[in-house]
Amino acid sequence: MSTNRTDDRREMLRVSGAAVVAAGLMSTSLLQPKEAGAARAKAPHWVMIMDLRRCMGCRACTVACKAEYDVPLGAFKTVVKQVVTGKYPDTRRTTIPRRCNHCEGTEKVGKMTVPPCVKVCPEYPKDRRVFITPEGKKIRYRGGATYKRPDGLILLDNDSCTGCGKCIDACPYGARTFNKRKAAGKDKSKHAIVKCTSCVHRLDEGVTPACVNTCAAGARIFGDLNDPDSEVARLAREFKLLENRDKTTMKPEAKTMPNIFYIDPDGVLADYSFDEKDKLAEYRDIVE
Amino acid sequence: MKKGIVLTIVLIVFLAAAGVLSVESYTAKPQFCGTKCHIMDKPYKTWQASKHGKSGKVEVRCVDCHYAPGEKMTLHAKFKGLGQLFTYLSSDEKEVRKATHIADISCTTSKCHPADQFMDKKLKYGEKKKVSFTHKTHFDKTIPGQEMHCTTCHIKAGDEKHFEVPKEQCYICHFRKSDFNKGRGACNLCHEIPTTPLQSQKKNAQPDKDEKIITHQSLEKAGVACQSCHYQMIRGETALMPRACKECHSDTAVLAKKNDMKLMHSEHVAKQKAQCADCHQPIVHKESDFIEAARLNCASCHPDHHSYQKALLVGNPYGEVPATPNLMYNVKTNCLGCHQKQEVLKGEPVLRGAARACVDCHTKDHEKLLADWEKEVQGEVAFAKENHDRALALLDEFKDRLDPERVAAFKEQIAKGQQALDIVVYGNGVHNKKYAIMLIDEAMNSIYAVLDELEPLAEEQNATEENRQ
Repeated sequence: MSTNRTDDRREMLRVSGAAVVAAGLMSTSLLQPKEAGAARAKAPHWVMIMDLRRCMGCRACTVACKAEYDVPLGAFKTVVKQVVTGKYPDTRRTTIPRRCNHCEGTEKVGKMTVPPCVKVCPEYPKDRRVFITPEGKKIRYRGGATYKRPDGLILLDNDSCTGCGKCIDACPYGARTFNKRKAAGKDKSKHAIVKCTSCVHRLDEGVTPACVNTCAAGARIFGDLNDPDSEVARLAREFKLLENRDKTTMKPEAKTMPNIFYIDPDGVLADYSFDEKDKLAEYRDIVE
Repeated sequence: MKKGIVLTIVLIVFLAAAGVLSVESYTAKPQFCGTKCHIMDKPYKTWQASKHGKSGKVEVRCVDCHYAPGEKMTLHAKFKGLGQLFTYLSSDEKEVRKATHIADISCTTSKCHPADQFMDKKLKYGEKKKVSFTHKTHFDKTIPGQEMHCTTCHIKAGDEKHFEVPKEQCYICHFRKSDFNKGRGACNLCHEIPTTPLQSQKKNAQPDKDEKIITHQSLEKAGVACQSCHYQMIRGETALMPRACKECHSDTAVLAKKNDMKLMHSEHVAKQKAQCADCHQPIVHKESDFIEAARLNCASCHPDHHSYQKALLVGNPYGEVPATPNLMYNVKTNCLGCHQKQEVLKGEPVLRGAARACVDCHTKDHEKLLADWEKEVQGEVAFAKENHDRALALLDEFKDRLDPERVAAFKEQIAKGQQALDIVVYGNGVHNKKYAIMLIDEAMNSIYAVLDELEPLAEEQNATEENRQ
């Protein structure tokens, strides 16, 4: 599994140095400088697929998430919303699980594309970090109060957060909110930010996120899209999830390139909408 | 027999009349002027693009404007045309006439733009349609010796759209030899001065009776000069261009009269021969860079002083770094907004930036921001410099083992990184922390490209040395 460490170049080299030398990177790269770059192993591309045919709204994911984290009362990192389609008497209720989309983003910062929440963060880019791919290759990136890891996860670092709340405004989905029980690291008079981290602490140890683990119906499928043999890659091919982002992701008009896809054969997602002003209310799980 | 002669005469007269009429109507067609006469190519195309041409509601023929009403279909007009053809054929010049004559009456005939309808009509001019304008005021007020005609302003012929008014034409009269916001250069002659609050957060807020709202009017009352915000709106001298007279005239007796303003204007403008910009240097009326105002004090001794600081504050795209202006730049805070602390440095008074300035506009907590930023940028610069030096040292160490082409490529990479780093080092990264860090990343990308190739070599060398021991 990948590790994520704050940078110290020397230390990192000490760890990976032996492997790098063993891999013979030195000799090959000196001989063929251009091909060395192409051979660089990719970071995983974590995506979650929500199978709307299977979700029956039991909220086990919401509870598992609450249990996994210290999610404050009244705040949620994952919720299940519902949409009623059709006309009486032929109506149907579909449940739509939601969580932070861990968007790919289209706005550039350096060589990376980042979603709006990262772009607006005044504390990004901050400290240097190194991401080590499963093959042992290193990818350099920058941390921040909110930042994007090379494997696509949008993460939080409360130590450098000033609690300004710009990221809450920037997120078009309302996936972020203040953690009323925790102070921001840099400005203790403000609240910290809370949002889904895709259970990065579990992920780095090779364990699936809590909501996926607990989903009895198997409606949440998590995996690495860069691995062609994975379940998510198979489903993405089968349902053309990447090609039809307009229909398979939440709020495509925000142009943030979400990494949470929905298998939605009935086109229910198009009927689900919320007002930009009340976006934060969408992350309250209220059972109707 | 007699009958036959009469018939022949009638026929000849009829044929001649038909011939004259057909030639007459053929030569009155815009297509005749535009396509048969090849020097009219440009004006013809701009006419087509204009409202008078094919893209307008009514197609106005060339002869409708270029000959006065009543004149355009006569033999007199045709002989004038033949005269022009003769001049063209007997001359080597590519362009025969510099300017054309269009009588005002051609424009203001009852079927086109009757004076009683358009003189008082309130119009909006400009790309954003924000400049209010009436024709009447312009016809009433004239400079000595000058008459205003339609074509004094509607001069575009050879480029863009036929008859369009270029804004530079307004500037020469309105801003030549006039003070900012005085007389005919007054802002409110053209622009509506806004009455809405200047503070962005109060623009949409509910009005509060006790609260004082800052508007353009309250600033005017307080005696704040317009120039302090609208810095250098007018640029250019509009002096006579040195070679302008000699473009057309070579006679010394004629050239000697060039300072007689009244004569010059009546000859050139009132008789509708020349355009303002033919003789006067153009003038620019546009909001200038407000940062320059603060830098001007230093510029007399150091022409390129503080250019790095400015580059940071403005935050233009650089390499892979996207445009990232400082938030202070977006709200038009210039250098003096933060540099308020008077200090004497090497016997010279200087203005230093101080955290105190942050507190004045923001909250007390903002005082510590500056120190944080300084520390962060210094750390980043130190890290980048260390790696830059290491890359150079490694290159020096292993240059014998690499082929010279690659060494040159590496050196170029390092130099490229140094360029980005220089902006942060010399410009002081606190001027735009976010942009500075992105610039350092840009520099580090170049330096890492070299280090990634050289460090394994160093590692290998260390390993062999350890084995030997």
